[in-house]
Amino acid sequence: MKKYPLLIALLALSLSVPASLRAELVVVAHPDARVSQLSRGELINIFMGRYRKLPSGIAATPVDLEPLRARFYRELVNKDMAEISSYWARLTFSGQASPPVQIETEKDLLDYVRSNPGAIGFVDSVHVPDDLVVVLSFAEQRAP
Amino acid sequence: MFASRRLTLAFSLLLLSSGNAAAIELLGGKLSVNGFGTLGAARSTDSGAEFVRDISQQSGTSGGWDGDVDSRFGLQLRGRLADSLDMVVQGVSRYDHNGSYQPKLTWAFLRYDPDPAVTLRVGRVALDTYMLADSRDVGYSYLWVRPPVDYYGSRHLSHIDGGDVVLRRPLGEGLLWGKLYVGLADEKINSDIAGVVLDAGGSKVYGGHVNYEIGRWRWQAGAGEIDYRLEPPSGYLDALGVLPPHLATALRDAVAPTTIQMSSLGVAYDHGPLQIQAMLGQLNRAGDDTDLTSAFVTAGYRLEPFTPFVSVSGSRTRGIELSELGLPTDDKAGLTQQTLSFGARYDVARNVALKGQVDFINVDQVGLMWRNVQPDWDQDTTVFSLALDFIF
Repeated sequence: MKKYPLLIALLALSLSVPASLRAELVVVAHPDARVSQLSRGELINIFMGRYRKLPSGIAATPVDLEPLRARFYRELVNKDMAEISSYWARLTFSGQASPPVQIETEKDLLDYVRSNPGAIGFVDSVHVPDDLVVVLSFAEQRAP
Repeated sequence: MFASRRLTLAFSLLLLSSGNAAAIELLGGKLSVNGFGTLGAARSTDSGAEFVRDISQQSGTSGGWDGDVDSRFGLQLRGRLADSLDMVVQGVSRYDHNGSYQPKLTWAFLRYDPDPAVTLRVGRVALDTYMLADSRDVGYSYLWVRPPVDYYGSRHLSHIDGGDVVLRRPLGEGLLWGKLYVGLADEKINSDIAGVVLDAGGSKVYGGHVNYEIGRWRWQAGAGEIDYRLEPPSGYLDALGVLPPHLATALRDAVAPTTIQMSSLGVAYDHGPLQIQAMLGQLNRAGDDTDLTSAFVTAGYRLEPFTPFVSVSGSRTRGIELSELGLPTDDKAGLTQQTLSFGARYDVARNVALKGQVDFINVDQVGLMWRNVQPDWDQDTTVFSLALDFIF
């Protein structure tokens, strides 16, 4: 054991951080949305259908990326997917608001944000292209 | 009858679960179809009176399992007509005043959002004088098998033909929003006066509510009025002639035009797995002994995939002395009762929840909330309920 302290330390570190948490989630917007930053509260208002207006005055269109949905809502409001669908069942069937646009792949999401200035979506931080703006990163934020 | 109805519901459920549990989209996403439903069975332990979910139901459970109290099915069609213009049509089939499941058109409106801060709806819109009242048929959206009967049971109007407007603006760290609505009612209620069905259609309804949402909290204060016009069936007023005069007058007054004032306060607290809701409501009728105060508190704690909950609710009226109406009894007529409920929701699969609940109900004044009340009823009942809720 004494022979490979560094190797063992690295191994222990990589085991202690699950793969799903190594990459961080970031929220992206179109540069024309003229928004450089969104607070968690503003993001909750947009994604939970309460108030879909960006600080710049532009109407916001939230977009869900299906494979990262569960992680995103856990980070945003500390709820699981059953609670999120239950929440949307209330708003949808009372005719109050519609849930975010659902998109299956990261490529389609990025294309959607590029062609809709009010679109707000979330992706893995390692895949953020240069032509979009990161408005919030969950890296140093704790769930409420 | 019962078995065949359940079979139809079960069949629709089967069809739904075999497909993708998401909205069915047509015309390239411009039109979507969503639905919700509940398969429920409730059993009261007492044959002295029938337990119903709300005053629109013809009969309920008394000592046996009953599938009609909670079972329902709804279908919504939503169309995007333009960037900020939507159309929503929703129909619901549930056990009604006639004892049938005839589907009703509950919403049919145009929704216009000229700006994210403004929403206008015109047509047949949901009436939400009380927090959550506009989603009470959607079992999947809440923890209980049914919303607290003491609170929601006597509030039977689900929609109005008219419109509403919602205005929103950020205030401090939170969001302030309000709604104003006006329209005409279009619903019938079962009065429990020898099975007489009263038509509340054409009653004017107007009011509004103010909400403040901040972090884990949501507050609501609402007020409204109903200019009640209850139309009894033909021959009802003539038939009263054979009754003792005081009783006849009281029954005539019960359907006379009147104005009812509604007011409510609601608060919801939501912190990760913990959710608490509390509401207080008041229904007032000028110069009447049946002013109704009702309240409930529910707390649930999510232990994925289960969410156990506890709920306490009650309603109070001063009551009408039945002896004053010439009836040989010391009892009062009104709506005074309290309920303690325990239950749990189990999220079995995506978009499907299974629930169990026990209600311990104690009644002081028997009002419209019970059917076929027997003179020897001890006014205590326990109700066991099971429900399977789904959405698609």
